[in-house]
Parts: sequence; structure tokens; C-alpha cells
Amino acid sequence: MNHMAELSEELELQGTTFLGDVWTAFRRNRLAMAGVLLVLLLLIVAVFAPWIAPHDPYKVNLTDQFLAPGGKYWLGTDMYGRDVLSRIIYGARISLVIGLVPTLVSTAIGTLLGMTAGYFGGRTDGLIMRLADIVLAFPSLLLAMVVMYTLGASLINIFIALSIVGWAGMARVVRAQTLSLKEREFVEAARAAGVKPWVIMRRHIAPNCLPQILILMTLAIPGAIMSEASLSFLGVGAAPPTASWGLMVSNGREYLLTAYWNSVYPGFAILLTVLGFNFFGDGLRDALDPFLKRQ
Amino acid sequence: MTLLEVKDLKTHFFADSGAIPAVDGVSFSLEKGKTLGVVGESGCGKTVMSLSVMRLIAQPGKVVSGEIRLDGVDLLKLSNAEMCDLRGADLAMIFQEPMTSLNPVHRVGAQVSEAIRLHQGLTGAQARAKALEMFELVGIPDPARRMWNYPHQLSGGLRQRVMIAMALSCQPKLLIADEPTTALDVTVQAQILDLLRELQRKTQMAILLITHDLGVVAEMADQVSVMYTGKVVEYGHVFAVFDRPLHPYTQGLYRSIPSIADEERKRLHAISGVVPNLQQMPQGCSFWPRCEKAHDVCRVRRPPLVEAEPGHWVSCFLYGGEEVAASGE
Amino acid sequence: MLRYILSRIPVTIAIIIGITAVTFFLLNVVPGDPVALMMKEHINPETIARVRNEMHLDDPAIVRYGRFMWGAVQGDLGRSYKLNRPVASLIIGALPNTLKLTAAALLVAWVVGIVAGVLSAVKQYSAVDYGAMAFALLGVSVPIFWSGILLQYLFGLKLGWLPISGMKDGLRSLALPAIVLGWASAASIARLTRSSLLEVMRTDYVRTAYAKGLRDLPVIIRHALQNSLLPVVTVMAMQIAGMLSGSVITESIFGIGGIGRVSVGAIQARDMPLLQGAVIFAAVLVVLANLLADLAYAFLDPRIRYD
Repeated sequence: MNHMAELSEELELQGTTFLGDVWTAFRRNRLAMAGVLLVLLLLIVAVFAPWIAPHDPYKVNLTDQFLAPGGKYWLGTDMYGRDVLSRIIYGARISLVIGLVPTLVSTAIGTLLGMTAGYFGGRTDGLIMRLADIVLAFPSLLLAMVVMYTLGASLINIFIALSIVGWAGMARVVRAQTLSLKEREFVEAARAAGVKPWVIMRRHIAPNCLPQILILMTLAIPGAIMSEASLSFLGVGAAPPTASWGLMVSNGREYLLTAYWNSVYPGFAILLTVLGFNFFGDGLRDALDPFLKRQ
Repeated sequence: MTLLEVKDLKTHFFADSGAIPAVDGVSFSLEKGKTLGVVGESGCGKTVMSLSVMRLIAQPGKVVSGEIRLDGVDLLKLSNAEMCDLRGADLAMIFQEPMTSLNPVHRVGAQVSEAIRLHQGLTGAQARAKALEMFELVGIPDPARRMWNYPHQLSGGLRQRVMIAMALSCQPKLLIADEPTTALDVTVQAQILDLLRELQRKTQMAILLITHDLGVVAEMADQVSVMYTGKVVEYGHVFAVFDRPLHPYTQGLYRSIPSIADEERKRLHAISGVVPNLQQMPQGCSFWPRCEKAHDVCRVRRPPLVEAEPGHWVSCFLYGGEEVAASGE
Repeated sequence: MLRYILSRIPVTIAIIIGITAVTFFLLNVVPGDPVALMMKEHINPETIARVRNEMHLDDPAIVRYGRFMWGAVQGDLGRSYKLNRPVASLIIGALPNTLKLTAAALLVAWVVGIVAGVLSAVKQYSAVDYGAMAFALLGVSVPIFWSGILLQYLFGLKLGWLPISGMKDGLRSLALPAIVLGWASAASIARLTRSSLLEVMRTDYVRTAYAKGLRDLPVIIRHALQNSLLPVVTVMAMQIAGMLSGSVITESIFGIGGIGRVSVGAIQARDMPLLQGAVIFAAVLVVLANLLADLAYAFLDPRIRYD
């Protein structure tokens, strides 16, 4: 890096606390704040769905089939006369749970395996990382499809499928981080003092991997949401009549020419949600960047 | 004959918190075939000054005022295209870090002949032949083979020789050398300096030598300019400045050199304090917080550069700047 | 260089074996009797037992895996339950379509992504930059099954410019699916190219290039671009797996008979051997593509090539 870059960087590094710095940098990023708003919106809609939704999302009403948006149904109705808006609102719950649960599970597995591999090295490392290589070699959607084929279509099985697919990328990053942390003085000091490996990992390594893990998690959430939607679209995810956005796009596809709202609005909901999490994750990464570089 | 004349050059960096004067009113001139050494601690603006002369200051920095005349032409008034034609041809630069200053994905021979083709309108083969000549000139062993190497296959000293070959390939009138030997081993340092001196004798180019090493200046320079916080504090012939350093800062720098001859001096002298942050510059002379001889006036007024003895300029109230300042110069 | 290639072979083989094992064991613990599924009409317990025996379905899983691998190295991936044809030939038949689709999508992704990334880095903070990055953010966030059907609707049905289904019209048939599939990759390549190029533009050797008197364009093309593409190549390799995931959806939407569509069909028909073969094949494709990317990286970076 040349002098000018160093100079301008020095000028920027006059912060106070770590969290304060991150928050200041994050707040200045307009896209990141937009992401926070979108994610908050999703949260509110998902939590308060029964109070927000104007109609029952599962109530079949054959007299109101394929009504265009407007009037009683703001976003129209589907082939069973169900209110599209209410189904989208309830779909937020599915997307949110699908975004969070597999991400948390695969993060936990990935962190644990990644730290173990990096810390102990040798055969343990070789075994875990080859397994990760194998998982990463599969196109993730196909691997998830295989798991869904074996287990059958259901929400719980989607959790399992996406967790099996998701841990490997996390493990790779955590392992790399662990390898570099292992050489640091405070870890060596703890080791010399006879502290047990698991304690060192919990006290010294895991907290220092946290920023990386947080970034990966915020970016894994939209990935999981997208995967569920894709599986459901292909008919191997959520089973009807679940109000899953992917399933709604898929079901509405046949009627695209006559009743576009059946496919277009649920797809738009996916887009906004994924966009929100991506903005949020990017902003977080940029805000944490100086910290990661100092490490 | 004056080749390069810099007048009241100011280069600022623009941060959120305001403008930072990295170079703050620097003036000097340099004659054909001569060497001007610019010395000072790191962060005093030497490198920014030299990049300003090349007009290679990038965002968020900017040359805000002053003149840089090369053969009478003000470089700051040239268009970008005109400046590109001069860079690498009339004025060339070598950098502090030979390890990172060459492009890792191109062969070194190609990197040298690129400049030759650009400025001399030669064909590829002619340019390669010229580059080979340059490799020989700068003393690279087995030049025909080395041309085909990538930078990572060469040692630091060889890479700096490649940089010199590149810089000198179009016979520049002015060579700016920014800490050319700092990153190298001591023995290699001496070789590179010898090489520069020899090439200067052959080509009569002027050298602007940026360094923090007074030993290098003593060996190479005709004139010396001492910089502190973006300003020239002392300027004169190398003998005058080394024999009779006037500015307390120069005296401090001079006392901090270890010396074998001076055996009874057991302790190395260091200048107390640190270079102030350019954003929080003290009022008055920027050196007073570290100066043993500071007076009250130093804290409020900036000392002008005055000619304390013929050809020897200093910016310090100890040498009568007060009357000059009062007379409104 | 040759030694570099050879050194990668053992790991590659190990990973391919791992892929077959994972797929085989995931699919062969499935409940339900494939034989009963195959012969819906005449469910005669004796026949079922005989066929099960012929198909060695009662052997332990590890033995069956061994038998599967023995066949696989000879090019025999078993027979499709549903179509009663060799899986290998069904897959080989579908392969060209998948390859055409992914190649076209990669082309879109690389050309659009690199051009957009370079433009927005060169014109940082300009309208071009913001436009390209908005396009990129949208690209990584849009569900491709949704953008797929919308583009199909707009360009195929409304405007009638391009065919919406099948592969009969050659390049014209590929246009929409390639854009849909390539957009997300183009987006991430654009973002990475931009940040990487901006970083390279601050390096010492780019300053050296300017000090030589080169103008902006030659500096970018000859000195900055190749270096800035090094991290991009790594990401391109990682995207190939994602692209095959995407092609499952794209093939389904645009009615392209490739490996993705074969897999979806196999799931719907509960045709285990076919699904197994298709998935293994796709994963092996990814591994080989990664190997190619490693070679491309070595080609771009002499520090790897000569060490």
C-alpha cells in the first residue's frame, strides 16, 4: 500500500470504542440502513401476521377465484379464492423461520467443526475439511433435493436439508481464522498455562471469529430463504397449502397471462427480503472491515 | 542552469475533518547534473512532495497551489496528456519499495521496454534491445536471461536495478529517487548509490533524492533541503548545512547519527517528542514543542525562511527572522 | 506446471469418491420399496422378492455401494426405474444441453460482470458506478425462478422476440435462459471486479506504471486488470456449483432437457438410480471445473506457475 492510502487511513482511525466505530460506519451507509429497515419490516410482518393480515390465508373461497387486485383484496386472489396479500404476510413467517433456523444450526455445526479442524490439525483437520470439500462440490440445490427426496417434503426436512448443505462454507472460514489465531500470543500463553483445548476455543478463539461469523450468517440467511423458495418452486420443498412464497410463485405460474398477481407479488416479497438481508450483510462487512484488517 | 524550480508548493489531503497540509509551501531549485537531497523524519511530507512533482497525487490529495517549473515549463499547467508524455521521458521516478513497485504478472524485460516503446516510438524488437542495453548499464548479471524473469524471481537489489533501468531508459533530465536504498541491505545500498552517481556523471541528469538517511545525503547530494511537517526548515549547500547546521531540528537530526570517530560520546542523542499530527499543528513554528531553544515568539508566529549566510537559508527566529517578519516580507 | 496439475489429481479422485459415497448413502437409506414402485400393476410378493434378489437390494449397503462403484468405473450407473434405460446414457444425452446453457450463462456472467465492474471502478461514484452496482445488488437478490418467468412473459409472450421454451432455435433459445442464469453471477463478478480493481489501482506497481507515462487506459488494461482478476477467478470457480444449482431451475422453467431437468423429473418419478447418477455427475462436473479454474489461476499468476 502506498503512502497516500496509509495517510488517509490514519486519518480515519480516530475512533472511540470498537462497537461505536462499527455503528458509526454502519449508520453512515445508507444501503445498510435501508437493509435494516427491510429486515425490521419483515420481522414485524412475520410476528404480527394474524393482526396485520386482512383475511385468512388458508380459507378457500371458490366464489372469489382470481379476483384482480383492488377492492376487498388489495393484491387479488388465487385459484382457490385465497387472499394473496394475507398469504404473502403469512409467508413472511415461513421465510423468516427458514432464514434463521438452518442458518443457526449450520453456523453452530460449521463453527464447531471449523475450530476443531483448525485447532487440532493433522488427521482431524484432514477428515473434516475433506468432508467440507465434498459437500461444497455439490451444487447446493441438488444436494438439498437429494435430502428432501430421502426425507420427504416438509418444513422440518427443509431445515435438515439446508443445515446439511450450509455448514461447510462456515467451517472453512472458521478453520482459516482459527489457524491464524492459534499462533497468537494470548492463545500460546493459555496453552502454556495448561488451559484445556475446549476452554481455549470457547474463551479465545470463538470470540475472535465472531465478526467473520456474523458477516457470514447475515449473508447465509438470504441464501437459505432463496433455497427454500427454490425447493418449493420445484415442488420438493414446502407442501401445499403452506403459504410459502416459492410455492406461490410456482402455483401462479400457469396463470401468469390471466392473473399475474399470483406469481409477481410473492416473488417481489422474496426479492425485497433477500435484498434487505444482503444490504444488511454488506453494510456489516464494510463496517467490520477495518477491524478484520487489523487482526 | 536551473532545471527544476519549485515555488511555494502546497499539497493538501482532504479528509472528513478538513484539509491536511501535507506539503505546506515548499520552494527549492535544482540544477542540471546536480543532486538535491531532501531529508526529514517520516511523515514530514518528503514523499508527497516528490509525488506532487510527478503529478501522481491521488484522491483524496490534491496540489492546491504553487509552481513546478521543469526547463521553465510549469508542470501544474499542463494537460493530463502532456504530463503523460513527460512522465517517464523527461522526468522519471524510482520508489522506496522495489518489492512491490514492479508488476508481479509481467516479465521485467517487458516492463522496462514498455516505457521505451511508449516514449521513443521503437518497435518491439528495438525496444527489447534497448532494454537489454539498460539491463547491462545498471549492472544486472546475465541480463539476457534476467529480462525473461518475473519480479518474484529477483532479489530486492536486482529489482531496484530493474526500476533504475526503467527510469533511466529514456534519458530523463530529472530523476526523483524516493528512499531508493531504504529497503535494501547495507552492501546493496552502497552499490545502488554508486550506480546512481556513475549514471548521473554519464547522463548529466539531475537527481531529487528523498531520504531520511543523512549519510546518504552526505555521500550523494550537492544541495540539502531539510523538511519538517510539510515545510522546508533549512536549505543550502551540503557542506554548509553539514558543517554549520543552523535550525535546531537539523542540529537534532545531526546529533542523532551514530559516529565511530566520536568515541567519547556514549549516548546517542534523540530529538525529544514526536512529529505533531498534521491535523493538530501547533500555532507558530511547528517545531517549538520539541525545541530546546524555543522563545515566546516561536509559539505565536511562523518563522519565515531567511538567508542566514550566503546560499544558506533557515526558517528560525534565532537567525533574525523577527525583523523580516515585522517588515512584512 | 505439469507437476502442479499432477499434484492435484489424488485429492480430486478422493473428492469424487466422497461425492459418490455421500450421494449413495443419502439415497439408499430411503424408505419405500423401489421394486413395488416399478411394478405397480402386478404386485405379486414372490415376483417382488425375486426382483429384489436380482437387484441385490437385500445386501448390506456397503456391499451394494461396492457393486455400484465397480459398475461406475466401467461406465455403468445402473438402470432408470422409470424409463428402464441405462442411467449413463440418459445423462450423456442430457449433458450437451446443460453444458450449452452453463457455457452461455458463464459467457454472459463474465463479459457483463467484468465490463460492469471495470466501468464502475474507473468511474467510481459516478452514475455509471451506481447504476452498475444497483444492477448487481438486484442480481444477487432476485430469485431466478421469478426473474425467469417474468422475462419469459415479457420477451416471449408479450413482445414475442425470443422463444420461451426448448432448444430448437439454437442461440436464440439460449438467450433468455442464459441471461436469467448468468445475471446473479454477473452481479457478484461485477462487485468483486470493482473492489479488486480499486484496490489494485492503489498498489505501488500501478503507480510505477503511471510514473512511466502510461495513460489511464493502458494502465488499467495492461497493469491493473490481470492482477485484479486473480481473486475474481477464484470466485468464478466457486460460482460454477451455484450455476449448476441455478440451471436446475432454469432448465425447468425454459423446458431445456438437461441434467437439472432430469434430476427434477427423477424426483417426481421417485427414480432413485437416475437421480443418483445425475447428482453425482453434476458434482463431478463442479470438481472438474474447479480444477480448470485452478489452472486458469496459475496461468494468470506467474508466482504460482513458477514456484
